[in-house]
Amino acid sequence: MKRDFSRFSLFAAFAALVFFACYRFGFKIGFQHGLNIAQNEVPETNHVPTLPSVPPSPSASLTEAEKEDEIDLGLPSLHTYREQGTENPHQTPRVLIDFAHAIADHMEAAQNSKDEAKKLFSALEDCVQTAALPQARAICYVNEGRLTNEWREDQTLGFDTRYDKLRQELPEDVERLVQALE
Amino acid sequence: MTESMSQRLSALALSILITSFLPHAPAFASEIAIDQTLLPVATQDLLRNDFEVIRGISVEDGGKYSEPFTQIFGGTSGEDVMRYLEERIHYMGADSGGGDKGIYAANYSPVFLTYIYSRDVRQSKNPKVTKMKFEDTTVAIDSPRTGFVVVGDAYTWPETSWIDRLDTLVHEARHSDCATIPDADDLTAYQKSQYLNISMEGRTCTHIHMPCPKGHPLAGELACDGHDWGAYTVGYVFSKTMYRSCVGCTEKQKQEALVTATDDFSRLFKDVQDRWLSGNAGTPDMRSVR
Repeated sequence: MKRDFSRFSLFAAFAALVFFACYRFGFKIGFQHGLNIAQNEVPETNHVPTLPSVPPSPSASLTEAEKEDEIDLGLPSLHTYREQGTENPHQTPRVLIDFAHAIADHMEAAQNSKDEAKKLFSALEDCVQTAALPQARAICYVNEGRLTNEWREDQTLGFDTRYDKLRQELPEDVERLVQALE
Repeated sequence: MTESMSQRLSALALSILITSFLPHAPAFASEIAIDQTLLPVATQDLLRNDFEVIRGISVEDGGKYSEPFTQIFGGTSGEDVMRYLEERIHYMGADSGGGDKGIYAANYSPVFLTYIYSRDVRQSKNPKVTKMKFEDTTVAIDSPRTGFVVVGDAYTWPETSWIDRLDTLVHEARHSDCATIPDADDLTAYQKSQYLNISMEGRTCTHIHMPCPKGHPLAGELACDGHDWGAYTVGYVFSKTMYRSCVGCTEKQKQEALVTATDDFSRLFKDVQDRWLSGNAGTPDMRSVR
């Protein structure tokens, strides 16, 4: 009986060790996945959709020093938009107003400085290609148009070519919004 | 001083700061009654201030942006927009006596549909009329043009933008329009919350919203329009015009107008967007039964 008991204890300790290892390992993987999802969007279901491939933005090939100098517009998340829009359907979700302020903070400088214009144009280009909300993508495209127009005299920037190319790639829903704002 | 009080004061200060950059007209008394008992003082002040800002609006005339603006408001001046509001909003009240936390704004005119359903379809001898508290009295919502709009705390939140408040007033006012009384089928569908079964003509009475379609970020919410020239279209025209043609707006205000216009247009069903973009939306019917 005593021998059976010590054998049972040994088995129980081993099982606990295996359970603990699996739990830690599994949790760590799950946590990492959770972070990845949060950086993109929270899916409505457990099914993770296959995202369409997006051509690399010019910022993908930047050096570390250049990346530090990039503008972060804080793209609005679909989850926050939905949360705020459900709370107050008649109000423009605050996440979009914050986004408007982020663009405004950089636009005036970009209208007066070539370097700032280049940085903002790249940030807007990235937004047009990757933002989750169609409204945000359209807003970014319209602002790109403003910058292109503002710097049309300076052909070295190549804004007009990039702007025209992006237009060809706009999804239908974003294209409609852009047309509505023209 | 409580946190909410300090927030309201900050909102008011911010609003005054913003509007000081805008052209101002002299302060006229508005025909819109503001509840001085149930609405917080900061909300009353902000509403008066917003009406004054609207009077001071100046839109460049003659451009392609001003055409739908003129069709809706009857002209391109702030006075025209105020006239549009005064015909449609007669009371600015508080919901549940004192402003519900988080509630932004709502026009009670669509409850008129319930009243006429009870009166005309159910042929009730004593159809129930919704009554709203206003100061020390009550207001019966027995016409779409009763124009009872409530505002809540969110109206004065510091993060609520200037253009969004004005856009909302214009949007809510449109809910007071009903050119034709809906037929029995439409009224029944409305009572049963079968919104998509309501005909295009029926939807225009108080310009009721539809559930946003599948694929929309607000899918299922009653936050979209399925007919031409509804409240979201009116808001879109107003905000887009402010973005394109506002005289004296700062960059921040222009960007706020741009996002508000974009969001309003995104609330239109695809076929409504199509008709708008192809120029086939016709002209707006701004009339209403009383």
